[in-house]
Amino acid sequence: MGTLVARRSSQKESARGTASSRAVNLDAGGIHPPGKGFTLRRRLLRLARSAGQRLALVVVCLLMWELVARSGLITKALFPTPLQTWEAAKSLWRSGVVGGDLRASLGRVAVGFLIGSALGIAVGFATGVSRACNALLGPIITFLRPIPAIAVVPLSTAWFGIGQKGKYFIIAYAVVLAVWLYVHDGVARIPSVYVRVAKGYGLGRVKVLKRVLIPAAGPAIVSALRYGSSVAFLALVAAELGGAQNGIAYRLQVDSQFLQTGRIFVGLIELGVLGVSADYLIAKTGKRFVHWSTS
Amino acid sequence: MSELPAPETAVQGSSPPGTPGHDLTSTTSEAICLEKAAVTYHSSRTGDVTTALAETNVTFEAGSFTALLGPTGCGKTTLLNAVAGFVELSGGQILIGQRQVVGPGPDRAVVLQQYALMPWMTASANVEMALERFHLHRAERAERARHALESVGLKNAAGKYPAEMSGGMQQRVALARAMAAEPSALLMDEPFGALDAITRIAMQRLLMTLWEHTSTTVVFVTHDVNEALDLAERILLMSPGPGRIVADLDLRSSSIRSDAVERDKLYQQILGYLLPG
Repeated sequence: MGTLVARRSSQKESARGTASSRAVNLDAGGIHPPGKGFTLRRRLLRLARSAGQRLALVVVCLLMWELVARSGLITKALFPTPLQTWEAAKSLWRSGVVGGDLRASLGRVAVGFLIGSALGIAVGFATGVSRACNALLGPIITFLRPIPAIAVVPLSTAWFGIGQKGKYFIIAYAVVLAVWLYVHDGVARIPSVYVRVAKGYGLGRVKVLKRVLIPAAGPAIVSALRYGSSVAFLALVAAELGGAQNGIAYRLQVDSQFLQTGRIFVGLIELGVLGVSADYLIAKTGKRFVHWSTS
Repeated sequence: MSELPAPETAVQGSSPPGTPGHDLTSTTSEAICLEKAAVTYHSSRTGDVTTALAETNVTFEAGSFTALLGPTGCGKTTLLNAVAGFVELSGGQILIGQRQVVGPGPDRAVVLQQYALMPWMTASANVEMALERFHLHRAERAERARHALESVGLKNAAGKYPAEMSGGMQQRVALARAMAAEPSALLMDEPFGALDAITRIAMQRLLMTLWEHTSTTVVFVTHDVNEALDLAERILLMSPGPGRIVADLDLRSSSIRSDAVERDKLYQQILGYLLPG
């Protein structure tokens, strides 16, 4: 009898225990999204740590570069050290070559990328939404996709000469295929329940496109543009090697004829930095539009 | 589940009737009438023809609350989707009031188990989407959405995105969206199936409150006998192979809500139908 009473009271205890612990949880702010509670000091510390890590990575890379350059693995005259590369960059900058090349190359990439991605998004939506469109255009695009930009250069030269139009054409060609694939896939994967619900509430075709399909495809569009931007730089090299008077890749070719490896390194680093920057810019801007996406 | 009748406690956040402005009480309900409605599926791979819903005649009276109860494959979701206009009939017709169903329409709001909120829209924007068809001014649309959210107890969540809300909150938004469209019929497909037991009870009570205020025609698909007994005025028992209605139980004059013994009897009776042999 006594044990029964005792057991009952302990049950009560535990019941009260769970109730109070729940109250504590609510007080602790279970409804706030995680990460908001960080103090400024902790955030600064974290920032400093990640900056330190990145700096360390750069230092390690420069050191390894220096070591490989000095090792003589590749003839020392043809493998510039970081310092020699820096000197080459400075002289290129002073002579105005870097500025001119950057302007020319960035202009080509920008125009080609804009044309290619606009077309890629439009066609991606068309083939993603409409089966008839996909039946018509899908095979054509799939046929073109394995044909690289560099293989299109001779045709471009024949059609447009070695002017700017040809460069735009080559870059846009590569970008449209890359962007189309991602956008098409993203649109085709939009859960049908979204469209169903929207149509159920009486939204017409245009509104379904604007309010449902475009936002739903948002994350895929951002991925498509990021990938498209890197493809644009690959195509830029093909375009400029196919005949140009300026530009980063044109400079690479010229410098290679004179074995100016320091200047070649500068050009390669320029391409890398531009590619990373474009990707970062698109990813950051994209995040503003698809902030709701968990991916 | 509890056998005791649920105490009549007020649902949290539910607004009292007569809220100023345009609240959810203006819904007009209409009857849903299935006349020899049937649905068959053709498999393009095997060429087989499956009867998902055998020829069915049934009328859901205006303002009634009917549960479609049965195991998986009994055609309850097919029946609901046919009324919603999501699947095409292979024969017969469905009437909402006097209008024949030819596709999805805003006169029938659907609430699904997976909420189906647009993740890129705030709670308020999700509800406002259902108001598009009224062609209102922006301010009035926002105001109505606010009322709808208030009526499901989400006054302060208007600016939240679905990812920032719990399942129960998301389903409340879905319910607010459905009711804001002022549908003639509310079609619910296991709407609370993904919720935990406690949230589920809260949502069931909220639904009853909303239904009592609006008297919209509700068709509620469930495979939970208790849920059907708790909510519905009428239960249609359905059975697979082919999907069809096998029993029609009118609970309006029954005493199951107050008499636990009666309720248990009916429970056993329903199980007898659903578990043959």
